[in-house]
Amino acid sequence: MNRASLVFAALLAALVPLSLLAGRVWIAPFGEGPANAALILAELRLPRAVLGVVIGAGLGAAGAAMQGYLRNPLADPGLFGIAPMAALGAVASFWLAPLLPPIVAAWSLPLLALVGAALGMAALALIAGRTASDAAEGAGGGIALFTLAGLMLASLAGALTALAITLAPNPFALSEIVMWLNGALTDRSWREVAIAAPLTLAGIGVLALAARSLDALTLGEAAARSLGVEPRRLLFLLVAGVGLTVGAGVAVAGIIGFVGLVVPHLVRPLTDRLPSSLILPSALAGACLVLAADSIVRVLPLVTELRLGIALSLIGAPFFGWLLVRMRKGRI
Amino acid sequence: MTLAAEHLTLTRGRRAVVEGITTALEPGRITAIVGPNGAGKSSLLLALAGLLEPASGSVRLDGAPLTGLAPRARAQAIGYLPQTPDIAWDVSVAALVALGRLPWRDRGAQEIDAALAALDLGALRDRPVSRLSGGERARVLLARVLAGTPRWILADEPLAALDLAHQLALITYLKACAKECGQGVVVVLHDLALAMNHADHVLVLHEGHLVAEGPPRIALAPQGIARVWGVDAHWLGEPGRMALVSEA
Repeated sequence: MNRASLVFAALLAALVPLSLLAGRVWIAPFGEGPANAALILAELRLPRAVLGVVIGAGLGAAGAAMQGYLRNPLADPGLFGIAPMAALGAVASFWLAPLLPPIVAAWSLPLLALVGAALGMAALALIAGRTASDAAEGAGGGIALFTLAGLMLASLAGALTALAITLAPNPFALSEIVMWLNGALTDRSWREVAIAAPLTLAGIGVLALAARSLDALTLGEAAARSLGVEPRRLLFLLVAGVGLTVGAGVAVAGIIGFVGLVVPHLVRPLTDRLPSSLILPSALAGACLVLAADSIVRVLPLVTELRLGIALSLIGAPFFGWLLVRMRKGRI
Repeated sequence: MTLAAEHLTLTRGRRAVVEGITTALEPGRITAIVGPNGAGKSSLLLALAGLLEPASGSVRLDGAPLTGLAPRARAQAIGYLPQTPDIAWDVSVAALVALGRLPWRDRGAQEIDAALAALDLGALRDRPVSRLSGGERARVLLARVLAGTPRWILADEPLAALDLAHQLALITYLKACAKECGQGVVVVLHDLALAMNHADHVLVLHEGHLVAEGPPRIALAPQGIARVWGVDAHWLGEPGRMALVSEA
């Protein structure tokens, strides 16, 4: 465990109890609390906090791996097109749920989002396997072609989602879809934790397997291959790892952007800057960021709670601009 | 311990860039690959490093085809230094050189220290690569290859971005690798004088074909230069310090 991991683990350890106490109803750690404090903690705040940690960790780790893979500090897990595909699956559930038996319908949204993510992964793996082997034979393409494939998938899924919104069966469904797409942890329960946690943990594990190969990519594709990196294996690990973490996150919380982009930049100065040193601390820092942001949106004195996805984009977009300015000045 | 190409043909897309090359490279000496632009030098080097699959023919290390070797085993045997200094992250010199140990999956502290010392980089080990000069960066990238203690060092124009003093320092070091450590060194060179003065063996490529091979004085004879480069030139000076002077 490196220094950055220790810093963000300590921060997370401080944030978790704070997040449990914060909300419309504040719970004092000592002394008299509200009568139903135990219920609020066990059934509302704890699953919500755990889910925030899980989703943030997945997005942070996926962001660090993506930036390492694309060798670009501006890369984001969203570039792979897996999040938009998962969102498309989730939106499809608003149509398909009434057609399904009730027991399946109750789970249709996360299930179809995961199906969407899996389809996105499969499409990428098909293109990836092709471009990776082409690159291995020196035909070019490689990572650049793969990124474009991800962008193509993202815009296709985005267009289909927009189509689904314009054809919404009724105004109620329309508002549900739009609200859901904006990402939130409101009213989530242990059920969502049970879906997202194992998939995210598996995804982070897969990304950790790719870590040393990502380090080799620091020197470029040809040098990485000369160090024994197998492009096709690396791509499959990346697609599987990002697919599992991002797909699981979107399935239970909607689209939460910018975490994967921002977090590796917070972590990098505390490490030796190699991708392998970033994955674990980025997972911890992502957990901190989502947990903190979710706690803040909960206590903001607004009539309706600010959606977490919107809040993080409000923070993330100016940060992205700041990164671009720094890049222009040659500091990245 | 030879690295050999047998009837090697390489294609990029549908175009053949190297056709029917057969040669055997010996360890313990510097082999220079020279030729005009587009002659297939870099493709041949990539194939010798096992990074470009032959369209036909084979590359053999100690008699066994490279394509049959596991990527890690191949990486342990052959170190490859690409032409462009392409470093994605602003890592420290020591962290970058340590990447050379990836095929071995160990920390390799001793090998890393030795590589840093050999290229006189000990004082720079904690410096971020963004704060290195061009010459220092070239040395660091070569140290990365050396840290992997490969039996073969394949470098694509390692001297291209360097000034005269750094060129000499680096080629002197590569000669030491070959002569003292018995490593095989294969370099793609543009500067024919460097090949003439420092290589033990020269391969001349022209339009994908191996048109001359042998000791530099034979492979780089003026008639050959006229035929391949289309330039009438002759060599001046004494062995080891020769300069190429064109007639025009």
